[in-house]
Amino acid sequence: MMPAIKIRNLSKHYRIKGPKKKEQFEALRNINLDIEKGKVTGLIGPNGAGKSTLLKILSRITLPSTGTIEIEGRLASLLEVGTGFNQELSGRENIYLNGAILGMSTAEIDAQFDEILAFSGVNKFIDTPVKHYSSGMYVRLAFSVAAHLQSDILLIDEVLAVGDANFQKKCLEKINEATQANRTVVFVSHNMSIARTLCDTLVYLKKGEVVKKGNSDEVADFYLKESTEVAKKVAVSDRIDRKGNGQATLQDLSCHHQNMNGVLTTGLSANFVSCLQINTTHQEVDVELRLNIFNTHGQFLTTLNNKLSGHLFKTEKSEVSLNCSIKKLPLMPGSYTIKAKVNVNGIQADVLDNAYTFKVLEGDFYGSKQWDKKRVPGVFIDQHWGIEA
Amino acid sequence: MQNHNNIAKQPTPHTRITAKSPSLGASLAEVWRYRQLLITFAKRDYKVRYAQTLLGFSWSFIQPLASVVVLYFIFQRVMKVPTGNISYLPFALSGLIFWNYFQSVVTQASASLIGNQSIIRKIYFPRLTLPLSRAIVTLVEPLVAALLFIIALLYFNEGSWFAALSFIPLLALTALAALGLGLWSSALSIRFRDLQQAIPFALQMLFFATPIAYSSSLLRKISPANADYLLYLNPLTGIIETFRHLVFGTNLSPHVWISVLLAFCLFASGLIYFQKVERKIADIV
Repeated sequence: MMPAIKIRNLSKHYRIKGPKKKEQFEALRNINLDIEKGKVTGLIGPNGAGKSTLLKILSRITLPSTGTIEIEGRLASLLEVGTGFNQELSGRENIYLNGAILGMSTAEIDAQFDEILAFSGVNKFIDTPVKHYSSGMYVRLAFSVAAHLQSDILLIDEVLAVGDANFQKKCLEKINEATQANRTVVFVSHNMSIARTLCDTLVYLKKGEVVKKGNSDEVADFYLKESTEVAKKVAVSDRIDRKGNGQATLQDLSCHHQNMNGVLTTGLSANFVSCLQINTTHQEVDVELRLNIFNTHGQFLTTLNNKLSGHLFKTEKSEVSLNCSIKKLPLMPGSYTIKAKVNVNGIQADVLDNAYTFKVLEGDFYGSKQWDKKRVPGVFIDQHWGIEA
Repeated sequence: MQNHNNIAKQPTPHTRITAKSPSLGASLAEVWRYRQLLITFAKRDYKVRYAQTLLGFSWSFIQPLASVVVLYFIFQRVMKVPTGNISYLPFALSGLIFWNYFQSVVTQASASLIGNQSIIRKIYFPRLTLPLSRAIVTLVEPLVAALLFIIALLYFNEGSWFAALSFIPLLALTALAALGLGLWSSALSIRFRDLQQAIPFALQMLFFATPIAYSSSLLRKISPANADYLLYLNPLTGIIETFRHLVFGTNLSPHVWISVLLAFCLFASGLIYFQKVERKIADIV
């Protein structure tokens, strides 16, 4: 089958002002890629990988430096919701304005006006200037126009990062609905679990090059593994990619079961040990450590938190070690990463993504001798059942 | 009405993107395909312009009338500039019709790319629609001024109101000259924002150098002999002189064709330059 988009030898460089002379920055390097018709293809990769540049070239906002792209079908792009919305105009007027900017004809908008309005849910306020809208209403209206764009190919960049969970779900359904009408979708996302559930194919871009393309589970696993490996190579104390005010920093983090470091077993005991350095002026401070646990899909599962579990720690020492012990580990077998957060006196002092990665081996959590073959790693909950006839 | 079914029946368009900018012809064809957007932009600017104003559309009448009053006091009462046998109100209006339009189009078209950066960075559409829509929306001003002018002619019983209709082709010529300058400056403004500072100043100078509040014969008197054709390098001089000639029967210089030719040249060169940089705009703004 003919691909919807055929990219050959595509490069894009920008001239940027370096510290001394003008330098060239290569945003995309020799990309060769076929986007299949009727499928949802996701572009993933770290910041600066060239995902957005690629979308910009595909949507003709900017020209490539070399190479060619062949596009079969009408293409619409949605790099931002509500582009071109005018604050002074009413919702109704903005629907027509935004539609026209996105390339819809007045007849097309007329024909779908009621549907757009119903989807946005701003009915009562349709003749009010959008500057009086809440941000949620604004985004909903903007997405509604875009979702009703009729095209063979749709390019989307991070538009789903906005709106509440309910609306996000609606957006996903709308896009799925669109693909059933044999629409090709190219999607850029940072949210790995959305990318995995939404896309058939994923393309992993890094530093302007295609690293891997294939089935979404396969590529997502590869991407997460690679990004955690990068983090593992650097010791926690040497990491500089931190957020927070720096009043305290995480120096070390590990977990063990008996003598096994980094390997735990479901249903058995586990210990998490951390080492914190705190800048105190010999005053007692309140320390809170939060270890957020994510599975390989990048989904948040649960948190280990001393304050939440009722253990308040006050200290004036500059170095402390915090211990967390779990009697019966409720995690399903798989690999997990920890995002660590340290709060001092309730103020965020340190945030470290991918602070630690550990494995969980299969174990019998309930002691029931029943094994669950669930693929997505989640948690077990203590449960008791009854039956009455 | 267009829906999924109709789309499927249409032949699938094929687009080829390469490193080269599309040709001028292809760009103009694209503008034609986006004509709906052109109108929508013009409507937007029109509505936004009078949003939350008390007097709304009345401003279109107040502005030219207020300018005439100011010009009357300075040029007629204080400086006693001769206008022949023509009353000052119709005389000044005959110049203001073209000047106000020229000034608005140059100013607004120049700022049209910078003012719409956020859309330019996120959506593709022919960028030409931005300055072009400004030339459409500002048409309101000269139409109102022309109406006032014709009323003034009838009131003072001067000139020929029928000949006054010649403002239409002359306004088109003004549009070409103004758009030509606007296209140049909007495209250049992306790299050199200085232009945005210089343009209002340059226009102010040009206002005094153009026979609007005074007659072009006065201008010819003070210019060096044998070099008066240089005056027509200002396209508005030729346009206004022609209009006054047609309406009031004042003198017409044989050099007005220079103004006409220049208006066309400005537009053509502006168009070519604009389309040359069009696809690079998003990288720079």
